[in-house]
Order: sequence, then C-alpha cells, then structure tokens
Amino acid sequence: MHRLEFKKVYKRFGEKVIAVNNANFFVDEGEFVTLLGPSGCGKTTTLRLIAGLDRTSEGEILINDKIINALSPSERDIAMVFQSYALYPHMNVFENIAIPLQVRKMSKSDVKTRVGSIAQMLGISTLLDRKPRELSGGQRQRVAIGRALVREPNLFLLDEPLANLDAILRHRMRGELKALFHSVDGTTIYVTHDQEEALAMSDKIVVMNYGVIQQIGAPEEIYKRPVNKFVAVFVGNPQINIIEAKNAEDMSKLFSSSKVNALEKLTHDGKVEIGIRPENIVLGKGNIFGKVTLIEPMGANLLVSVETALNSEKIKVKLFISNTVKISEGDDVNFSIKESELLFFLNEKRVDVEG
Amino acid sequence: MRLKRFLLYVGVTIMAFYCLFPIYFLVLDSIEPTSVSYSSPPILYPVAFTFSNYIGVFENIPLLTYIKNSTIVSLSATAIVVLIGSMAAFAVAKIKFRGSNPFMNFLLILGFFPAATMIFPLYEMFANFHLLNNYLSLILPYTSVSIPLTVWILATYFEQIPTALYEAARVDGMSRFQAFYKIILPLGIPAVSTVAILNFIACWNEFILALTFMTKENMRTITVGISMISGRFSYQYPWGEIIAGALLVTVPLVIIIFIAQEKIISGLTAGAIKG
Ligand SMILES: Nc1ncnc2c1ncn2[C@@H]1O[C@H](COP(=O)(O)OP(=O)(O)O)[C@@H](O)[C@H]1O
Ligand SMILES: [Mg+2]
Repeated sequence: MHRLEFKKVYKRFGEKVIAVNNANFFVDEGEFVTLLGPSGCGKTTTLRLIAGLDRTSEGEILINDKIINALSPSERDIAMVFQSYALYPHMNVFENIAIPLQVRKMSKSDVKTRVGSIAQMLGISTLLDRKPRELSGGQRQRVAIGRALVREPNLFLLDEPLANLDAILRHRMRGELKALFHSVDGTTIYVTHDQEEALAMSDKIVVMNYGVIQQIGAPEEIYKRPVNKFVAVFVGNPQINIIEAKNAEDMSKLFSSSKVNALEKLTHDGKVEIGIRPENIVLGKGNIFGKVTLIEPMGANLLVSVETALNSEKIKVKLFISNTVKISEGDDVNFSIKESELLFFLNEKRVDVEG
Repeated sequence: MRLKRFLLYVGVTIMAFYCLFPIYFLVLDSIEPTSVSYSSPPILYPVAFTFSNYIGVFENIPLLTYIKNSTIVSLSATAIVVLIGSMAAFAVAKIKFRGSNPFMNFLLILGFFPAATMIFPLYEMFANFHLLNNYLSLILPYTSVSIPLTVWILATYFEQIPTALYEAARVDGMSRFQAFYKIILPLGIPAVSTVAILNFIACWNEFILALTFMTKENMRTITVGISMISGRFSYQYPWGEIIAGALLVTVPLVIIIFIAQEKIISGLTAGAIKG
C-alpha cells in the first residue's frame, strides 16, 4: 500500500498560466481522495504531474517518502483512467486489459486468469473479443477501469471517469466505483468537477480553484465547515443561500441579539455575508416573514424560493419542504433559521462567531 | 437525381477511357508484329497476334537480373525510409522534444533541393568510396531524398492519433519505443503503407541516378535496362519489345501493390482511430 505527498508543487504553462499553485497535500495508504473544482482549476494537471506525463515547475512529489520527480511514467507504476478512456482502438477488450501485464512480462496463463477475473468483476466477460468502437460508453469505461485494476499499482488515478456517462449510469457507477476501489484496497486519487460525486465517494476531498488548493477535508467537514465562500458555494446542491447583511439591523432580523453582538465586534462596519444551507431553514414557524416566489419540485422535496425584506433591501432564500405540504406561489409564509448551522464570511473567508 | 447519376457515369466513363486507352494501345502494340503497329493510320483493334516481342525481350536483355536489382534497391530503400521516417515522425508528433518545430522546417527545406543537382557530387563521392555499381549507390540517395517528406506526411498523420493513447501506453508501463511500435505504428498503418507504396514506386521508376551510378550491365535496374533495348540495326528502334518489356515489369508490380494495399488497409486498420 502506498502514500502520496505533494510538497510546494507548482506547474506553470508559459508566463501567464499557473495551473497548479503551491500544492501541498498528503494521501494516505488506501485512501480515496477526490480533487474537486470547477473546470480549468488544475485537476487534470495535478493528475498528470502524479503520473509523470507533465513535469513539475517547482516542488516535490513523493511516493512512500521517495521523491519521484525524475521518474518517467512507465517507472512510476501508476494506473490511470483517462477522461477519454484512451482505449487502444486496434486491440480488443482482452488485449486492452492485458497489455499492462504483458509489458511486465507476466506469463500467458497468468495474464489470462487475471484478465478473466477482472472482466468477471466488472461484468464484461462476454465482451472480451470486441473492439472498443463496438462498445457503449459505459462498457468502454469499464474496460478502462479494468485496464487500471488489472495490476497492483502504487496509485490509481481517475480523471472524471463518470463525466461521459448518462445520468442514470453515472449514479449507479458512483457507488460501484467506490466499492470497487475500496475492495482492492488501492490508494486512489479521483478527479471530478461534480461536488455531489465528491461528497458521495471520497474519504477526503481536496477543493481547488484557479490552481490553488482551497480546503482539504472529509466530505462532511467540507460541507459543514467550508473555509471560504467559494467552497461553501461550490459544494452543495442546491447552492447555499448567501445573504449580505449591511448593518446590525439587517442581522437582527435574522438571528438572536447575542450573535449580532458577537458579529459586530468582528466586523466593525457591520458588513458580513451569511451562508444558510437550504435544509437549515424551517418553514411554518419563526418570525421571519416573506412571500413564496417560486416552487421547484425535486421528487420527494419541493425547493421553495421565498422573498423577504431586511431593513435595507429585499433578499431571496431557497429552502426545502416535503412535497406533502400544500403551498403555492404567492403564499405569505413565515420561517426560521437554525442558528447553529449558520456560516459567516468576512472578505470571502469564513469566521467563527460565538454566541 | 437520376440525371445527376447518369452524368456522373458518363463522366467516369470518359475519364476511365482517357486513362486506360494508352494502356490498351500499349498492350495492342506489344502483341502485334512491328509491321502492323507502325501502320498508318493506326489500327485500333487487334488484327494480328505474335509473342515475338515478349520473346525478344528475354533474348535481348537479362530481364530477371534487372528485376532482381530493382527489387533489392527499391525494397531496401523503402524499408529504410519507412523505418527511419516513422520513428522520426513519432518523435516529432508525440514526444515533442525541444526544437521539433525548427527540425520540421529544416526537413521541408531539404525536400526542396532538386535531386538532379546531387548527381555529380554524388558520382564523385561514390567513385571515391568505390560504391559505383553497388546497390548502396542507389539506396543511399533514394532514402535521403525520401525521408524528409516522409517524416512530414507521417508526422501530420501521427499528430491526429490522440496523444492520450500514447500517454496511456506510457502509464501502462511501455517504454517510448514500445508505445511507438505497439500503439502509434499500428494506428498509423494507413499512412505508413501509403508512404511505403509511393516510395517503392518512386524508387522502382527512378531513372537518372540509376543510369549514372550503375554502369555495369548486371547491375542495371529495370527502368534503365528496358530503355537500353536496342534493335538489330542501329536505325531500327524496337518499340514492340520496349513496350512488351515495360508491360512485363509494370503489370505484376501494379497487381502486387493492389493486393498489398488491400491486405494492409483492410487487415490492419480494423480498429481505425475513432474509438
Ligand atoms: N499543455 C498546456 N498548455 C497550456 N496551458 C495548459 C495546458 N494544460 C492545461 N493548461 C491550463 O491549465 C489550467 C488547468 O487545466 P486543467 O488541469 O486541464 O484543468 P481541469 O482538469 O481542472 O479542468 C487551465 O487554465 C488550462 O488552460
Ligand atoms: Mg480536466
């Protein structure tokens, strides 16, 4: 089992682009770690640095405490599932899965057994004679995963392996992949821009933006205690409600006076951004009053947009209620906020507020 | 729609006739006695039949020796061109070494030099090295003339093969060279085989260098050899035999190339690039 460590890693393309900007993180044995961030934030570049397909501009990458910067991709013994799958088009499924073993000079009969059992595990045993172009997207993805799983590498790298699948398959594969990589006990680094995927699958999430790591933590921590507004907004669907309070009167409309006092001490000018997750707003009791402007059914729940007025301006929040509740657009409603779950942001950074 | 199709067929027929008629006329001339083929106005259909031209070719020149020489020179040159050309193209297209752009421009400039300007310097050089009447005296210039353009064509094709395939190969544990011959080369077969065939034809048909550097009868290539067929008397030019000779060496070549192309392209591109 294998550990990976990034120490002050930079990757520049030309003068202007810093795709990875001072990355420091650690992946422990057998961990399933997700790199999460919007498109273009440097996730693929980070994977390519690990695989040795790109060289770092600065910094060190270590596997099991050994610096691997100078090793070529074939010497690093890492398995990677490419976003495009990169199956060899001129080889059939068997050959595609077998080739990492064949180049390692494994005996023919061992290759056959090994590929057979991997194909069995992935449910593609009947496809072994087919060429990649004769496969569906989901089947190709399985072959790509098979090619990675067939050997026992230092690390597994997966670059948005579910991005090209349809929604149903994507949801099903999410669980399956997690189980699969846990069962082989492999250290896995998974890349996605889909925060739901990251929350569902990971032991640990590394959130990136513009090449800079924003936060590293367990899914629950990322969700409940985001370090800044970017992470709070990026993670969670539907998005967190962000309300800008311009002064103490605005705040006192929303929460208790002890909190207002504590906040005032922190902010000086009384300006603060407040993050409220939709599930932390309770409709039907409380003393904040507003009007329903939009109802979006989401299966078991309704996502309700409510407009209310602070002192200085009108604001809108989204919240969940069960679809059994009778409600329609234009209704006057009252609601309350779970104060303990509120997040406060000063200059984009989250601050802890007593009281 | 119908009319369009009809016009298409008419056009194709005219083109086919335009291309094939001279060949028909060659065949006709080769199987008729010289007296008939010289008749004026020309007779466009067979009237008499004789094998004498074909027999004459074999009596007149060592045809099989010429074919052997041409085959050795053309095959060796083609093999070297394809080997070096495809590896260089791979390096340019997939490894992206520093300076690959200047390298490609340099190759293009090389391709502009007319081969004819090399004849005399090369003659001097080969004479000094005692390489005249040696297969190398043709193989070396043929390869060096062909390689630049071959690299260009193959590099352009290899560029289109997704780089992710090369990278996947490297991650899967292949060395650069393994990634080349297990992944890039098989996927590049359509271009490689085309380049090989064109190279082979060019070598087979090359005349001036072959004429200059191969002065001994038993080292001549077929193109030169056939042009050297002469009549029994100096005023007599044996067209029938020359034509028969040309057909004897061309027709089998064409058939071989057709078969090769069919086999190569259908057999090895089964997996085309699009996955
Ligand atoms: N080879 C390259 N040359 C120049 N810029 C690049 C190259 N590869 C990636 N980039 C840039 O680096 C940034 C990060 O890219 P990438 O790692 O692919 O993002 P992600 O995978 O998170 O979508 C982007 O701004 C991208 O344009
Ligand atoms: Mg990417």
